[in-house]
Amino acid sequence: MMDFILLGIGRWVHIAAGVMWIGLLYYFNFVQVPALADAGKDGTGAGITKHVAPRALFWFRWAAVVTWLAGALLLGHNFFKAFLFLDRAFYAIGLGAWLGTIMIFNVWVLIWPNQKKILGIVSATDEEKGKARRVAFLASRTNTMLSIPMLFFMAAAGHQGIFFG
Amino acid sequence: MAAVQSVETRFHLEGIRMKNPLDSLWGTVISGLVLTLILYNVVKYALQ
Repeated sequence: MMDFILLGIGRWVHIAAGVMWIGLLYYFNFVQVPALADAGKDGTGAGITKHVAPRALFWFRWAAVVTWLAGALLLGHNFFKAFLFLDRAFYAIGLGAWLGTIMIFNVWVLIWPNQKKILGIVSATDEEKGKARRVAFLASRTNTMLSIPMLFFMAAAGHQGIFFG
Repeated sequence: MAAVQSVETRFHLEGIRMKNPLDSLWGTVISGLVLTLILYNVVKYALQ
């Protein structure tokens, strides 16, 4: 029963939260940023920045936390074996876990604090907002780039024989 | 977006003006695929 809760339900939660996290990451990069660029030309971006972005960011950053915690729960006593590459069987998942960890760092340390300045949740000068835009943008794009190998290694981890011979 | 692109979007390397690949979506996706290929080979080598 405990295995079912940890490995079954835990895996389901990990994947569902991961879909929400990476789905919203792709929404920001593939939809919202280009949409705001167009909206900026005719001054119609307020609806997105006021009503959509804060809600999307809420689910985005908390989905990241749930994904990471559920992943750590799934690794269980193999957590350090995976993160420290102590066992060959955990090389692929260890690399995926490291990429995911870098990504959650970017979410909470680079993207969210800077988005708070951009969206006016905390006060900032125009110069600070300009810098915040650039840092949040590059951190978000970095996460989009890292998500590609991260998803590959997450998928490959359960099938190391097929992927790595 | 204009503000985003106006701040340090380009850098110079030996006189050649280069663009950050992360400034474009295609550059981001291609960088991710290249990184996947590199890391895949690193893991494959480590598992041999």
